[in-house]
Amino acid sequence: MMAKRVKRGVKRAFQALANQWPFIKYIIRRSIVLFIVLIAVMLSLILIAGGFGIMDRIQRLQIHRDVLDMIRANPNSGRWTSEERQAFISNMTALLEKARGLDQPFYTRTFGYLYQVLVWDFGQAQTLTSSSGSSLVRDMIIERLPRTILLFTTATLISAFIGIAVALVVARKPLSILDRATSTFAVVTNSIPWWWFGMLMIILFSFYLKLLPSGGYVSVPAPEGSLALPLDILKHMTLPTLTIVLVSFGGWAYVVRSILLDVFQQDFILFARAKGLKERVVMYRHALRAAMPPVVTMLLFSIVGSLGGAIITETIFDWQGMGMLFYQAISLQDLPVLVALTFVSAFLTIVVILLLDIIYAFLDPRVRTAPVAA
Amino acid sequence: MKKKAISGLRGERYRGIREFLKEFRRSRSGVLGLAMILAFAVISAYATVRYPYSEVIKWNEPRLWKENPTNVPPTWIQTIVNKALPETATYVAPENTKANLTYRGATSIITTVDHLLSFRYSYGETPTNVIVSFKVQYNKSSPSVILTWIKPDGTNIELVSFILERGVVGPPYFITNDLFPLYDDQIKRNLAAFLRTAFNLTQAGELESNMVLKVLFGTNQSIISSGPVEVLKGSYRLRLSFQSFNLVSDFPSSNPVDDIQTFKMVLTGKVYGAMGTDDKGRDLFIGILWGAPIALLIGLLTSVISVAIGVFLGIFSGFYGGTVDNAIQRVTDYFLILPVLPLLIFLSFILGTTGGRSIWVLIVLLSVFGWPGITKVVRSLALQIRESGYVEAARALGASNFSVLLRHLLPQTLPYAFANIALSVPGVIFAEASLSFLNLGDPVLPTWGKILGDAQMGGAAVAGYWWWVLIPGLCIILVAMSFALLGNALDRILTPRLRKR
Repeated sequence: MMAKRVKRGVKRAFQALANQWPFIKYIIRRSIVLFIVLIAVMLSLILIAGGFGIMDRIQRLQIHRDVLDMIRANPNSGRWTSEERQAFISNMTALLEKARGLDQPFYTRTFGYLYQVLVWDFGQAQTLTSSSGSSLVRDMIIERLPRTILLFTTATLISAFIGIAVALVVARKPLSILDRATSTFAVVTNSIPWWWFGMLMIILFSFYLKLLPSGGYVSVPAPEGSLALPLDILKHMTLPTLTIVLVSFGGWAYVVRSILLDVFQQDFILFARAKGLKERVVMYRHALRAAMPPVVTMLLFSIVGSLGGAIITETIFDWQGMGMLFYQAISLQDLPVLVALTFVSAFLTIVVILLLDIIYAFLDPRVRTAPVAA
Repeated sequence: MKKKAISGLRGERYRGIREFLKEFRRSRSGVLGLAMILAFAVISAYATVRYPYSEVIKWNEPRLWKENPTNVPPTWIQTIVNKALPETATYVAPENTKANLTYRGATSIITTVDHLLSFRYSYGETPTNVIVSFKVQYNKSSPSVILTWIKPDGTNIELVSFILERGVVGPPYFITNDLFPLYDDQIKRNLAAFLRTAFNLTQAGELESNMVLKVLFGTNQSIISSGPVEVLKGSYRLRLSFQSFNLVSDFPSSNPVDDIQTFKMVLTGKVYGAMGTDDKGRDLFIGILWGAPIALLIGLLTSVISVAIGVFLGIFSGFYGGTVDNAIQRVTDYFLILPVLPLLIFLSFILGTTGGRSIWVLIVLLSVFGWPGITKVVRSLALQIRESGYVEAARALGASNFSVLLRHLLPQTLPYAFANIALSVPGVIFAEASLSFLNLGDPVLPTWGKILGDAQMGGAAVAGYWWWVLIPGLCIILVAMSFALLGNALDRILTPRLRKR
């Protein structure tokens, strides 16, 4: 009895899986393609950096560090003469370089580097450290990444939300004064760099009005308590978030309005209206739902895209995220961190594009059932 | 007969251009965009003529800007705050205020020179800095100089007295000396001593920098009080006394007598120029003016190159199809997926480590990432055209691949290309600004992005130096917007087919 039920359950599960087969096939195919792209991107970066000797220089820096650590760890090293010390350094360095294959031409190490990059093994930074004191580049990135995601996801979600709300209003009366004003506002704000606007916002809100802190992630020293800390972070987040929202919600309104107007032309909207449904119901149940897939795609794309824009925006607001780490790595000429950040950015972009494909296919059945073009 | 047909065709083409112009004139945003671009072109031409390249590459040399006030707003701010603020002024002591006296004894020659520099000061506020510089010429033994500050009420303050350093090349030796009362220890000690004797104030051995200007320009009352400076208006004088002692044997008769050659003073103001200054005293007007030609050069050249690559690959890809198409499309997809700014940073950083960083390298880098989007659209255009009836007809008439490409595909895609040259400029300008902001652009030339990067380094936003942030940013936006307006107008007129996608 029991076994039969299990058997039936399994069968049903298989059946469900088989029904979803086009979807799964689609995901697998996209994953393979994007994995190949990922490898190609990483390989080309390694080859470019390696061609300039950057990858090897990072290795040598690491070896130098290790050798100095060895000397420090050796209890006898205090009694060494400077010649002995020098000899130890050069012997050990030569040994380690040989062990890592640095005496061979660069391209022989390409796949070794590729493996390291794919498992996020970026070694130690030259000067930068994480706030917990670790000089491992991976620790630094893992510490910074959530902050970047926190700020930019929040800001993007708010802008998208306001933008959609505005679009719902203006799309009802296309070419009205309000609609034209929104379009003009969108065109103007679209050509304003976030970071520049951020500088102006700091001048206005923190220099003249003294309302908000000009930058930082938390106050120094950070307040303690389960409520005080999030509130403090929130206070520091306000100005950058406000900046991003003010500059980008117009663009959202403009694009969503165009999508909505497109949807309004469709027969099913005409039909819904003909049925005598209330305008509200037509708007939210029918039009907005049909407009959702492209909007969600845009949302995810702009979150990923904002990671690139984060570099300067975070620097302006002294927001200790991944973008600012980029800036610090550039100004301190910290090679391992810079190289690692480039790889991580490419890595994240490709992974998110894969996620996007999956979500899109999930939202829009046409994508996964359509015959796939070459 | 044949000739007539050709001329008819040519007429057709001209009519096309005429119609385009007619339609373009009707597009208000397009005309506005074009007018703005022309204005920037005029500004660029003026910039390159007024401040030649050889001068502008000295933008990073602090020596050139030392006589400018640092971090001060533009002069026109006075009409907004409705208050006269001190402007930077240079005073040169005229030759007729010099009194030379030379005593020629049997064994020695004694020269004394008194040089007087007078100026009126009638602003309500003190200047931001005082720079005194003079040049003397002497024959053998180092002369001594005394600098005295004489206020309108007759108060004499000895600022500094010292013996000049020995010259290296000579005789005659020439020595140029710059004195900065705000930072000079001896002057600050002397001013403190003056306060002790004249006002019986208990003063530390050395006056603080912020007190120096108060003592030099303040009324007696405001010097004693702790409140803000009340400026004593009137004619001030600055006296440079020079004395030298030479043995006759050290003094060839052919040599000129010891003398003060130049004596001048700069009072740096609280406002400067049309666009203010930055933290190094650089005149932002020059930097921002020069940003225009650089932005136009980088923007236009990069767009032309990337559109050329994009159109070429797109036509090829769409027209030939098959393996060529597949290969080009995969490479394009690859480029489209890359995160552009991190990679640009990475590449310009690497190039910077080998010393190869300039606007030309930047243009190449930006072009590398500029073409993929254009390739995609041109490919779809090429596919459409390839399948169209008239191409089929041309082929039936025996037209070769090459002639179809040249005669039909290229002319059809060119309008799109023109519109896209204009449309890609804003992105390029933003990317260049970002790289320059991160100090990864051209190391020598001032660009808007670099000025903003300097502003960030100099803490302009936190300190409220709005002019340093506002103006370069507005320039970036205006140039970007003018090309966007023009590009959109061109796109609407030239590629009507794409309008209904």
